[in-house]
Amino acid sequence: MDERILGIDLGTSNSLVGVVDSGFPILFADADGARLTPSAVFYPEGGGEPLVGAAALRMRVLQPGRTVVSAKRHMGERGALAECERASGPEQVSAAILTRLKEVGERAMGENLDKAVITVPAYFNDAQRSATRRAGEMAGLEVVRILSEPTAAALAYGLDKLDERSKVAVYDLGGGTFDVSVLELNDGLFQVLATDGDTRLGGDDLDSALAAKLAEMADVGGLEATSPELVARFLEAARSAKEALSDACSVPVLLPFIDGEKGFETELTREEFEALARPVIDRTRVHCRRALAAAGVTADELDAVVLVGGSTRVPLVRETVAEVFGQVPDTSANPDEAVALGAVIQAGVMSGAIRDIVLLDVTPLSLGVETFGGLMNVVIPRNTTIPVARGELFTNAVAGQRTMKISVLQGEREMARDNWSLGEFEIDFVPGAKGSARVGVQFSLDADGILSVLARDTATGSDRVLEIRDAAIDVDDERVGQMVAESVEHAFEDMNERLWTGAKQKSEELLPAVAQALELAGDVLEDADERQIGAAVAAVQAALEGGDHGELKRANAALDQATEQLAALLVERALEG
Amino acid sequence: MGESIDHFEVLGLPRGAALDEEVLRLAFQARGRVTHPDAGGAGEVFESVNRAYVVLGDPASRLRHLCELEFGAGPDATGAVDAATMGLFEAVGAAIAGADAYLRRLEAAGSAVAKALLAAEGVEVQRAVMAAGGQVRARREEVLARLPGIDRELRGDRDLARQGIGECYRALGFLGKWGVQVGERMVALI
Repeated sequence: MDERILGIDLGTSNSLVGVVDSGFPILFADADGARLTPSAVFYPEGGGEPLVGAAALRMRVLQPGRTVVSAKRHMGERGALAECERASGPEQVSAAILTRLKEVGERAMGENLDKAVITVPAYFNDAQRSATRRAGEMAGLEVVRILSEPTAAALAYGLDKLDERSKVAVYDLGGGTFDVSVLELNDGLFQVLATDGDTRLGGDDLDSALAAKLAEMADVGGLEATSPELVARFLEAARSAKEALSDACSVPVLLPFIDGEKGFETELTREEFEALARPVIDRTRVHCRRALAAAGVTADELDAVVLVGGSTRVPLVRETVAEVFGQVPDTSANPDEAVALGAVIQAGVMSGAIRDIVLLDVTPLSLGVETFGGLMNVVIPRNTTIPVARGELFTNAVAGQRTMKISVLQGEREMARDNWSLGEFEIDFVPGAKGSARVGVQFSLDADGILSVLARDTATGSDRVLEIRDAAIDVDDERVGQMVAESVEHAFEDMNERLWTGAKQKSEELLPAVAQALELAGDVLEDADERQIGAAVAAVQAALEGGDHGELKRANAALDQATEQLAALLVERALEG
Repeated sequence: MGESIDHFEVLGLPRGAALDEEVLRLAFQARGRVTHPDAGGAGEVFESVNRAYVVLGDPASRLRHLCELEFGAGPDATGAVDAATMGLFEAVGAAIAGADAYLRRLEAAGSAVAKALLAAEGVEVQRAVMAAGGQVRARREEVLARLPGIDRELRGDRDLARQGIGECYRALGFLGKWGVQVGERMVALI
């Protein structure tokens, strides 16, 4: 019997593990009977072994600084995610979760399991994929394949339809990432035609928006002005209200003792939640359209649109998907488990336990090098099937030049600086006249979507693997600071200045725009509306004198709201004209 | 760089200028199924299959490859571009420049009112980009419709075939570039 390989879905919010047993993919439950392991890690005082899963999540409210959630959002970056005695970078946190999943699998099977297929968002770049592989190695796992999540979901969807030929789109909105892929299924062959997405868009963003709203309603002076413990409680209340609103039309929110004696209680409707969620969910539209266009497939050619990821339980997400693709999405897959099942199936393919399935995946991002003038020269375009290799010839630009530094990039922007830098490597020239020295460089993306670079000396014909200096280690401190500030848990110090500048910029743009809009369409406004706008303008002007960022933000929001109808009127006129 | 590999042969397809996308994809899937490393194939073999799929998938690169195979050199890239294609240049360029200017202003607008002030312009810009995209697609179809004729000439007047390959190759190069640029603006505008 072939050696078993674990299939692991390492999610932003939850993780799962399974294996193919007697030809069937199964997912394991832990000692408590739960298949979902929350992707949370708690680092106890004194540097003891970290707690993983539901136990860690319970500690979050008590000691948020020592608890890490959503580490996946920081994959490929450096810097600690917790205030603790151990190393707690995203790789270490992920390794702690993977160690736990490995144990769950080994306990269930009663044998050592040290190989795994691990899923990542399709839109993960080289640094993020490599970091995931390193996390696996830290956990004692040989990572035999890094598999894209929507591709995995398609495997799970197509397993019982192997003899069919069809085109499907997978819309995968998880806790922290969004992917959309278009595939063709043909008699056991799964060809990804195109993929698109955003590695920082997911259910977490819905929680944050709702938590901010709740904090505003509770009058605690904005979420950013409260303690980390209270932020964690607001986020938790937001998450559970969000989940309840997938079925209910309104839900009570209860937060006792948020301010000494004071508690907070309210009733939240689905409409209120959807107003907050819409801007977040609308951001997925452009990715869907891009994926379809790149695949050369129109929405009506799709046989199914498969929903995966816990966030696709939100009714507004389903409505949005139906609108974008013009068809009712297929919700037959368990949104939490489809990706894990796909990982298990691919693990079965690689161990030999499952036959007649072959996956042809693509690279989500274009790979290129920086050229003179700071432009990106694409070597391997996005949506190229992997594994793939492409050669580039580099030559000396001046006589006697001995070396050349080459910067490797991933992304779709024209300017090199707007793309991800994967690092640099150096090639050596034989000194000679300008253009006489030539070095061929081969860029290869393996089936995991991970890059390696080989230089061939055309004179000697010898190949040399080029070391790429890791971009993750090279991120400058300012960027790291920004990353830390982005995670809500850390975003409290020195925020006042930044908040004031932001609010002031908004006012400075808003005031002249409102004046111009009134000139254009003020004539059709009711007197009462016009007076209300006038009052709101005056309030913004007063707040600008005051210097309190909270007040200015509220005044801006009030003016935004007061001019809603005016804005709608302008848009209407434009569409008519 | 001239290539000695026959990408048509790699995928088991007849050599020619015209090639249906669906036929190509099915040929790629059939070869990919047995040559992919996960199916026990060698990396270099799959790489050649993958390379053939990419080269033949884009009509312009397919024509270049065909020309190399048939005439020992690529098509003349510097020759004249037909008038119908060149005539599109102005309309496409103006639509793209207009869209970029509009998108920059829209991005700078931070409030609903400021965005609404741009709505009228947005409608115009979108209309212009859509029209330009339609013209590019239509012209591309016209050029692609010439390819079966070129295949006939390859067995008859080969000089005429070579000339036709060059003309289509140059037109498709421009149309491909414009198509991508217009498509990007369209996605950003919707």
